Amino acid sequence: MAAIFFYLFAGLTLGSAALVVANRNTVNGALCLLLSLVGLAGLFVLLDAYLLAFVLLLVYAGAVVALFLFIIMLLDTQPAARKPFKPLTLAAAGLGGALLVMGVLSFLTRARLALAGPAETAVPSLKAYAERLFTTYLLPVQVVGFLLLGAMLGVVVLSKKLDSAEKAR
Amino acid sequence: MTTSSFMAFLPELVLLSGALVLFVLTLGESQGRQARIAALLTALATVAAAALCLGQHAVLFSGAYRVDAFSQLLKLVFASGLAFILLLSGRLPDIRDQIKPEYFLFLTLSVSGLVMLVSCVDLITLVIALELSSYPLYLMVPMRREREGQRSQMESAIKYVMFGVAATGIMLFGLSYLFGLTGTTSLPLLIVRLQPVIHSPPAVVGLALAFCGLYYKLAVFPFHFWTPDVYQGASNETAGLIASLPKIGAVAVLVRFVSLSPSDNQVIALLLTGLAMASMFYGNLIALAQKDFKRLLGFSGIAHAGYAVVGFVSLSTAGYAAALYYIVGYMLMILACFVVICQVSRDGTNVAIAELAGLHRRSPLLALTLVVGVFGLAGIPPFVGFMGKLTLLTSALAQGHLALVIVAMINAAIAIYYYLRVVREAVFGDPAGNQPPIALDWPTRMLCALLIAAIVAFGVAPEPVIDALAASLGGLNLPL
Repeated sequence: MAAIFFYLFAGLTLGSAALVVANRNTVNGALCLLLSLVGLAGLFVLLDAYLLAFVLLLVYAGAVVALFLFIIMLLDTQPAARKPFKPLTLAAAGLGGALLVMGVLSFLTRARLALAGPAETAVPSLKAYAERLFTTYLLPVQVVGFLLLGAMLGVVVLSKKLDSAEKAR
Repeated sequence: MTTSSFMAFLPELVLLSGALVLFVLTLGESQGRQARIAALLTALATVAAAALCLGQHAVLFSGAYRVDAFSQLLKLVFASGLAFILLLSGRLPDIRDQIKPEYFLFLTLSVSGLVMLVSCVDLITLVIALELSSYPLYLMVPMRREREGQRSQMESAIKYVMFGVAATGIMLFGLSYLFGLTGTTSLPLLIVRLQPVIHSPPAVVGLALAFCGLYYKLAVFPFHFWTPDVYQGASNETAGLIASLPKIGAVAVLVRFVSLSPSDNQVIALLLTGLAMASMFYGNLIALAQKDFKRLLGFSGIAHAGYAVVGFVSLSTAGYAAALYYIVGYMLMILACFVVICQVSRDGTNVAIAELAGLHRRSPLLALTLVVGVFGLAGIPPFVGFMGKLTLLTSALAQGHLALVIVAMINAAIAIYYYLRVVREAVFGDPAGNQPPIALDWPTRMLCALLIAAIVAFGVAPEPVIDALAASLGGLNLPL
């Protein structure tokens, strides 16, 4: 049963991820990304990582993809005519793909993974996450606060029309 | 928080409180002058705090944050670097008055990210601190004033962000491999658990990918594309910051990562050798053809990143200490060059090498600073650049990397040509037309004197510095 669901969700994730790349309409592409994320969340549920699945849907599907759609509709881009790839691009893509295949093959054949066991939080409960957040990861949480403060001020500074304000003086 | 852990965290607290004061200043009407004074006071207080906390040892935040001799020494370097850069950015002609407080806030935030970076021994904390040091820089590049027909600051800002995001993504991918192999994000634990599998492909790939985010900061060869454009597009003061402090942070974290692999890991050594050679040749050969002084420094920066990587090839403590010593010296030398750029360009435009002509008549002190800085970069004794290269090459030769040492020597010879071209313009050239003499205010004079003194002192008496660095590296990954 679990195997069926695994293939179902994996197929959904990979298939819609391929459609994100192949789709020429950007809105459809963003919606395919949403589907791909839903499939990924399903995979997390199969691994008993309910919180991660929930956060993925909430943050990525809920906020990030909505932001993408917002920008796409704001810019109102028309699907452009498909340009043929340059030979250099094709060569680079071929080389990159070949390297990736070789890498995966060498992983499959040569690597003997002596796994150090599952991660320390064996039970990924909300309580365990919260405890980590307030002990080991207290500093990153605080630092992210400063990061967001800087990002917010940066948006204000970069979007302000400074030239007109300067001329008005 | 107990008193001892409070003391251990003092430099960070001082810096972050300073950042909050600056944030309050951004809320009012343009207060560029007050903001600069506040930032300068913060920097001086941080220098004092870092000096006071030099001997501190502590593990904070449940083992995610480690205060030891290594981190405290580098915090002192960062705090002094911040003070230097604030002395350098006096007038900020290319930043509008209304956003000067924000500029100083971003500067302080970026340095506080670096200060935390050197203490992080948990992968997640480390990535967050790295981001805190990068984001403000992304914002400072496009804050340059627009000119007629010049929007290069936007182009370079986009390039900087895009390469930064891509490099961080690759780094996170590599870190996920390391996490998957060991099941922990804590570096001291990771070292222990990685030992049995260190030669397996996933571990090597994970480490190699994890280096990528740091190569980007350091501007090592395949991640260097942003460097010349950002140096040229950002305002002179911003470029001075980007060129100096983040590179020390990158080398410090690279030390922590590279020391994960044992000293007989040939794959990592080979990879680092290749990158070092490529960076040196690429940077030096293209720098030969440059006319803009900042762009020239950008390409020479790529070459110097290559020299710094030479220290890592030996995978030994002596090599890491040499790389740290070299990059600290590089900060002093590149800042000396940027002081000259900021002062020669009165209205904030870029400086072509030809514009340096006759600098010795316009301002003898600036000409002396430039000569000391550029001779240092070229690796001419008795300046710090020479001793740095010597210790780096000695450490590489001790492990039998003869080919790399020869390539580095060839590159040092190539580099002397374009550095001497700068010196020739400044010392032997005649000023075009009747250029007025450059009047220097007292912070600039002080900065020039400090930089010249430091470059000479570090070059003449390198032993205390290298010994202190090597000693602090001794206990780097040991459990406290």
